Amino acid sequence: MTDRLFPEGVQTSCATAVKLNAWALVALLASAFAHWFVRRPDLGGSLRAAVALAPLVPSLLYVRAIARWIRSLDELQRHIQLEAWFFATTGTIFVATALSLLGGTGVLRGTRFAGGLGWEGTYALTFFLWVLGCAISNRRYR
Amino acid sequence: MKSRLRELRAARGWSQADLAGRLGVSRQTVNAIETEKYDPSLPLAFKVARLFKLPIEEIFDHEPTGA
Repeated sequence: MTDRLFPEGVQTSCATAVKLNAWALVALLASAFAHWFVRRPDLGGSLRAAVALAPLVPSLLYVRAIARWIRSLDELQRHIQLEAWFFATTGTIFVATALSLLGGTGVLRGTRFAGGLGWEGTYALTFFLWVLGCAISNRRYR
Repeated sequence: MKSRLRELRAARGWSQADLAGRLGVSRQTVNAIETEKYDPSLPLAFKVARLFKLPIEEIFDHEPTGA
């Protein structure tokens, strides 16, 4: 398997990857903290909501970092990335909708997906489909 | 879109990487244009035309598909 995941010329150094994904790591840590913190019984409703939603801030900054990175790419690389992101987001929406419809019928009762994908599943599926989309799109323009 | 990019590049003895460097794009982009898998943007087409000192229509030829 010699196919490149990223288009040729895309900066994929460790430093670039760390810089690009730093906000994702912050979001993950904030999410883990929020998950633990909101269990405290002495928290008020508004504070609980604020803490639960706090990971969205680094998530938005992560989206901004990705958007800036895509804008900095060469035009074919940008085209490939946009195709891959489109594939990932539409694929995730499709799977989430399918699970929701199946959940309505009750066939998923007792499984991990009874309540839908959840945010972890959504992120993981989007990442997986993005990798797949990169590979497919990159292969097309090889 | 048909393109004479490969022919023009070869006439100057440039590699795909050389041309990519002069155009400020990746080698993959040059290859995709030469193999007609990717149509360049208008700014890139102008850049190519300026580099080879030729009108755009002498480098790229769009063949309409279908009737």
